[in-house]
Amino acid sequence: MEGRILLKTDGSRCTQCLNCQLVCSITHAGIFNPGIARLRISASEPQIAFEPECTQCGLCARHCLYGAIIAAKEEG
Amino acid sequence: MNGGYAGQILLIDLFSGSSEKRPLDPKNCRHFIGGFGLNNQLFADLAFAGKDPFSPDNPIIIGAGPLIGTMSPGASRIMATTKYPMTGAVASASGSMTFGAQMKWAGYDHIVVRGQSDRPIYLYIQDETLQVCDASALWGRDILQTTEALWAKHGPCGVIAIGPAGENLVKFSLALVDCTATIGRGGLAAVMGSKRLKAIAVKGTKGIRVADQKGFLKTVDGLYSRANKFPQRENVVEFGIMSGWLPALEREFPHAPEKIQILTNLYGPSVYQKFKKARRACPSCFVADKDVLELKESCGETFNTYPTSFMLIRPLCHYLSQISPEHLLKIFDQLNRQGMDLFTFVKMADLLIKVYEKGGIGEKQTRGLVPKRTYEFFLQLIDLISRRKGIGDLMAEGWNHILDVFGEAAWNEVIIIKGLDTIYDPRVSGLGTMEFEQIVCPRGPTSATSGSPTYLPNAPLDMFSKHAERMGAPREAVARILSTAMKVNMGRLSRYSEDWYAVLSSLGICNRAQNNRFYHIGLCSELYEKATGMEMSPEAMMEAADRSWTLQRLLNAREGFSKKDDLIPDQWFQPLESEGKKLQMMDYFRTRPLSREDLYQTLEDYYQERGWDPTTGYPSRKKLKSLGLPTA
Repeated sequence: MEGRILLKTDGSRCTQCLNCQLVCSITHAGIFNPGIARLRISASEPQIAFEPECTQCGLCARHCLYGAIIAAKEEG
Repeated sequence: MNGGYAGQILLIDLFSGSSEKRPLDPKNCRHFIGGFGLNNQLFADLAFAGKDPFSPDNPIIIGAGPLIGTMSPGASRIMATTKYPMTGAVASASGSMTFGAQMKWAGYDHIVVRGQSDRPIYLYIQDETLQVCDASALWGRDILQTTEALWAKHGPCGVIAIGPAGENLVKFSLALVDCTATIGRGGLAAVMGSKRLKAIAVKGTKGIRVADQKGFLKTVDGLYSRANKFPQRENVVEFGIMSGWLPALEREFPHAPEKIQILTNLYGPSVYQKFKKARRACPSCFVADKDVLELKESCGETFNTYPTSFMLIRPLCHYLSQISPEHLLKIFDQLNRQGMDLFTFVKMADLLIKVYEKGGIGEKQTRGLVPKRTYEFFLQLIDLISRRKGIGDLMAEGWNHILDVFGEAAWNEVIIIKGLDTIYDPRVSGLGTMEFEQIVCPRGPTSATSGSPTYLPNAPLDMFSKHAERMGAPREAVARILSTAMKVNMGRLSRYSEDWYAVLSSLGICNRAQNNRFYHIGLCSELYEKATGMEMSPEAMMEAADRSWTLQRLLNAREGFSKKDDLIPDQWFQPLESEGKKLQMMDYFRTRPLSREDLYQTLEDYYQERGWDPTTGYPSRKKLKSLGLPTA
């Protein structure tokens, strides 16, 4: 059964380390490139937003080092 | 190139505004790895010896190693290699934040800037496109204003910018990356200023691949897993570098626990929390050491400052007594905005005050200025130096000029090696690698190249052998390091600290203890091979580091540096008065005071461990041949 993760974000914890975008782009596009990741980090006051093509696979949450993206709920 | 490397060197000529792209040579990659190592090789190929640091012929070479732009933890360290004006030495300084990753994503491993513009300019590089842009409107503006203006115009990008100190060729000026990470102690900003180069901005949209994606991610995930399980992880996330506040003070004041308490009450972690607004990390870093702090203007309005780390107010508070943390941070903010080295500035201010108070100089030499240990005076001095006005013009020229003018009264008050002030004093902390390395580092005294357990006070002996092995020292070298009456031979150990620094800096990994503790030479080799698809055993990696460090020595030998410049300071043999005590130089484990003979022997052991001639300090012919470096 394929699970689905719902991701919650807390921009105030984001340090802009870009790890979420790096793991997203390498996994889904085979290249480290934040510009094509399926989530966006705004620059000054960090806010995290998911692109429509995001499947909520949860890799970004697993690789977030600061608790800014959290896998909140898994649905079966 | 299969991955890791972007595969190109971008060479920019500021005379014509033209550029050229050259492919990276895989043979050079195997010999020098990248970043630090390849920068040295490029400098050897592109620069002539004997040129003035402000000559158009002095290139600035920015190198981003093969792990930068990937997810390898803390792999964001770029290296800036040039001939530095404070020392006249060919050296490499490191910086971080997003510049290196953006460079790699734009398609470049190295950017070389040569020549000189006839008007203020900045460079904007986006993928294949280079724009040489007019910077007249930015000239005179501080680093934060400049960087923010470039972000407003170009959007998010990596920016290396200089302030008025660099524009006015202050020899101890430095640049900031993305407003917050320092780069170039010893005058990188002044070299940029001499080229009328206000900033370099780079944006990459192409990304970077790795050769073995699955294998690379598995290794990287293992590293993150270890970092997340690190017992002090929560503390690091909360406090960043400030989590090391107490050990740092214990190293600086082992003889004065009451002083540690006072400083902690005035400026410690709980005070930091009052100013902390946010923290920023370099790409892929799990330490997030860059602070965003909120300060209040006198009118009550708040503004943000980006002081690298709150932790760095320590050197300031040693020289200013009874000063509020707000005022310390405002001094720090001004140094960053103008683009000046904090360590050198506080020592210059301290010397000026001491010599003036002792009557060694009067108002004739200070040009009417009355030096004082006050907030207002420190701000005034920053302004005078960055604009080269009054006494500031003399101080901007560096230590040799200052000591000439101040005369004998000043000679014993400050410790200078290769034209740069020392940072660590073995009379306080014992002779560790950080203290010893100041003598031999081609760059002059720096905090970067000499990591070892002596970074901590009272490190146990068994930590040294584990650390040496982690850094890639062969078993027989570890035996040599540990076979000494002083328990650890700091000269021999320093060779491997340098090589470890060369490995990390060539790959692009941050060598901060908080990051590099998770790496070892085997892991570096594994990551390199999976990223690039090129074979590189741990032994080959250590040899590349040795080759790179030795080439740096050769580059400086052709500039006239020799053993005579690896100066053991006389002051180290005199007692240091501190907090009512008289401190003598001792070994790291504090078993006995050290004599000149001890230091000469440590220096000789260092040369021997490097395979350099102990009588001249030059690499031996045999050593050069074994590394494939030129012998003539």
